[in-house]
Parts: sequence; C-alpha cells; structure tokens
Amino acid sequence: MLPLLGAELRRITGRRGSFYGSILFALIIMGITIAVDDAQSGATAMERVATAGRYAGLLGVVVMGALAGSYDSANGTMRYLVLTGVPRWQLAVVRIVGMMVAVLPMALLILVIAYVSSMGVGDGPSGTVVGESTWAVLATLWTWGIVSTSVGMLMRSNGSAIAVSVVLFFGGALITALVAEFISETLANYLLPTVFEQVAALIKPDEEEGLALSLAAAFAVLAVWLVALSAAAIARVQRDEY
Amino acid sequence: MEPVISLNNVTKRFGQHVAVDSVTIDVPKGRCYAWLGPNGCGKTTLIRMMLGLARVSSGEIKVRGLSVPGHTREALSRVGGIVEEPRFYPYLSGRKNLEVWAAHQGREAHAAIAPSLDRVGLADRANDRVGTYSLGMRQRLGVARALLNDPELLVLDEPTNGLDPAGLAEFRIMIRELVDEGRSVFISSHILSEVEKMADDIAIIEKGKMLANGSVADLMRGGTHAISVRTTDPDRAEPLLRALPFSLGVSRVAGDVLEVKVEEADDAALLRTGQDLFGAGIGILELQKKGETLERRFLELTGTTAGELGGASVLAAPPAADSPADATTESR
Repeated sequence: MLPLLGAELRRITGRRGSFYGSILFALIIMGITIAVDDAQSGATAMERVATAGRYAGLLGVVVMGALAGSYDSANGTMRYLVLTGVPRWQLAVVRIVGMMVAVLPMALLILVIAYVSSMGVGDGPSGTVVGESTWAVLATLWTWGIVSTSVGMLMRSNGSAIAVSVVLFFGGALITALVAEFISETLANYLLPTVFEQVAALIKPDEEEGLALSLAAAFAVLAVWLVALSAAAIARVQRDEY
Repeated sequence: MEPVISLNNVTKRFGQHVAVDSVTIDVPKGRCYAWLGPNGCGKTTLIRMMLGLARVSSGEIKVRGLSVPGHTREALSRVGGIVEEPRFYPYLSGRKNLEVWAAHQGREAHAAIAPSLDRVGLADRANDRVGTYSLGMRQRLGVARALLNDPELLVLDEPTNGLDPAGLAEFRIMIRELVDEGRSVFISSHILSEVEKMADDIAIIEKGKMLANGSVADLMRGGTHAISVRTTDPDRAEPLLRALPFSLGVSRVAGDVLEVKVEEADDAALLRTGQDLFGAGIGILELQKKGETLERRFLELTGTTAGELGGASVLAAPPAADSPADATTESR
C-alpha cells in the first residue's frame, strides 16, 4: 500500500498548477487577513487567520481533489493502472488516502503562519486555541478533500468534477439554508455543510444557531456522509469499463 | 501446449449493437499473433475484454490458463499491454511515469525501468516530460511500460501508430526479439503490410466476426492470385479475359486496369493472356503477375477495398474466396 500511496502523491504533487496554486492562494488570503485584522487577543487573531486559511485552502483542495479523482479516467491512464492487476477498490482507496496526505503541507503552512502571526498579539494563542485551530484546519481540508476526490471519481471528467465539487460547497450551504427555512430545520441539521461546520468548529448544540445535534452525533453523521460518498465512488471505479 | 490466450464464443454487446460476435480463438504460446481488421471492427473491444477492462456479454476468456474475469490479477501478473493508445502523465518525465507504474507492480518492476527504457531507445530522453514526446516516442514508452513486469504475454493494440519508417523497422525487430525470448505477442492492427512482416499467425476480423485464422503462409495460400492488365481498350478486353480457361473472374481495378483472378499466376497464363489480347488487336500497356499478399487475401475475405483499410491505393473488391487451405480455419 505504501508504494501505491507514494505513486499517488507523486501524481497529485506533479500537477503543480493545482497543488502549489492552492497553497499560494491560501497564503495570499491569509496575508490579506493578517494585514487588515485588528484583533486584540492572540487567541482571536489565530482563529481568524486560521479560518481564513482553511476556507481559502478549501477552494484549492476542492480543485486538487476533483482532479485526483477524475484525472486517470479522463486522461486514459486508468486502464493502465487496472492492467497492473492492483484491485480497483484499492486504486480508489489510495486516491482518497493520498489526497488526505497531500493536504498536510498546506495545513501545516496555514497553522504555522496563523500561529506566528498571532504570537505578538496580546498574550498569544493558548494551547486550547492552537489545538482547536489545528483540528478545524485538518477537518476542513480532509472533509472537502474526500468529498471532491469522490466526486471526481464519480464524474470521470476533470472539468465537471471541479465544477460539481465547487458547486457542492457553495450550493450546499445555500441548499441547507433553504431546507432549514422552508422544509425542516431538523433535516437541515443532518446535511453535509451543517455537520461539517459543527464538527470542524467543534460547536455544541445551540438553539440560537439552530444546531440540534450533539457533537458526537454530528461526528457520526459526517462520517456517514463521507463513507457514503467514498463508497459510491469506489463502486463506480469497481464497475466501470476502461 | 496450453494456449496463452483462449477465447471461447466471446461476445460483447453495447445495447443492440454487437461489437464482438462469438469469437473463438486459441493463441499459441511463444508466437506473434495478429488480430487484423479495419478500424471499428471490434479489435480494441476484444483486447479490453481480454485484459479485464471491459465485461464480456457472453463467452469465456482465459489468459495464461486463468479465467478473466475471476482470476484477473493472477492472469495479468505477467501480461503487459497497450490499449487504444499509450497514455501517460504528461507533466512527469518518462522515467517518473514508469516509476509510478512500477510502484504498482513491485520491486522487480522498479529494477526493470532502466533496461526497458534502453530497449526501446528512450534512455536519452527518459528525464524529459512526456508532454514533450512525439506519438512515436509515447508508443515506445508504452512498450517500455508493458515490459516492466517481465511479461509472458504482450498485448499491443495498434502499436505501430505514429512510428516513422525507421521506427517501424526497429519495432519489427524488437517484436521478433521478444518472440525469440519465448514471449507471446498479441498485436491488433489495420496495417496489413506491417502485420505480414511481423506476425506468425493471423486472425482476420470484420464487424466483430472472425472470418479466418491461421499462420500467415497458410492464410495467403488459401487465397487466389491475379494477372493485372492495363489495356488500350478495357471494355473489349473484359469479356475476352473472362473467357480465358484459367480465369476465375475479372474485376476493373481502375479505369484502364483489369485484374483476372487465377489459381496460379504462372508464366503460361501470362503469355496466354498477352497472346489473346494481341490477337484481338487490343493494345497492352502493362501486364503483370499479382502474387500472394495478405492484402489480397484480406480483401477477398472481407469483400472490402484497400481504401477502406487506409491503404495507399483503392482496390476493387473481388468476390469472396471459397478455397481455404487445410491449415487455415475460416468461418464466414
């Protein structure tokens, strides 16, 4: 499995435009945030910069993941990977795991910059804030890395995979708001954007925010979403003709 | 000896369309076997099924004695292939591309990268990005990739596409070397002249159906010869040629060129043709024997024209032959 993972990382990082472009975009947004931020405490400063970094990074990760999922099918290389005799499900799983590993340099850069930039503000960030920010960044990049890689495998075409992944993020928030407003607030609690945000920010049930699920339940629902999307993608890879 | 590929009544349907129709072949080990047919006749579909890339609608496929699907992983463990066209990661170098594939095939495959690149003559360009390679270079890199797992069987789909004449000659030599090493090579092609020079055995396919298979020599023996005549008066010459005692039929190949189909294009037949035409006062501009070629045999079997095959000249299609040699299997 490790050699396969190494090969997958080589493929993802080899697409330099999406890999380094995503990191650069996150850094630029963080730079702007630091420049205009007027936080008085280190904790708030780190949270704000890390939040800017994780949302900017998310956009890049959506592109990287969609490409990781769809590239081999769109490019015609998938048939040669299948020809190696490695089971198809394993090829699909390695893509998802590879994507989770590939976002780590970006996550590390976001966290280091957020931490360093907040050190001189007030007393600097506490250990709890550092821990929560680390979790928020990783949860964001991993969740949307898995979602976009799965969408990529389901779509099989680079352009549509990127488009659907981006729409899923932005449109997902809109759909969730509409569901909460016009259909059911309870149902909206189970939708991917809601549980993702609750888990990433470790938000406890809050009536004012309209969050009814416990944190543990939100974790479970998010896991179901990710497993279901990944399973659908793996099933497609397993079934497709190349 | 157990065949390296065994197809038993293999059929592939896409809705109502039958892409491969009840094909049965045994491909012998240690030989170059060519799968010959015009574009769109089902060659690639059959290869994709053999390699576990596409499902079989009905029938049974065995590769190296193992069922595909069923034991695909074991069956393909010593099989290399090019399907449709060689595809790579254009942003990685040739060497890094092979490293990606070797990672899926184990340490021995990794050790085979340098020798494979040497073998296909790409060692000097191995560190260049594949995006800068010509189609011919990508074909050669495709063969290098196919060699990584020390294959017993190579399945190459239209492998000579994009090769220049020098590259074609090198490729033929390489295929013969691979066969001499005891490997089996299965090639699909629509280029008759290439197949004739490269293959030991041939199967001819058209519209998903196998029309004939056997050794190249046997297949060509099963065909007829012809005497080609360019005359000053083809309209008057035609009935005269048809009346020749050895004539099996006459076809007009071009405006003033006629072909008399014969069992054996010998000197006596040539002389008699000339004499009869001169005797009738018809001028002869060219008179020549047309011997056994795979192209003639192919055209006879498929009832198609050289133009449809992508040949340089357009030949009229003579009627189908009906006298196959003993060692040749025909199924039309």
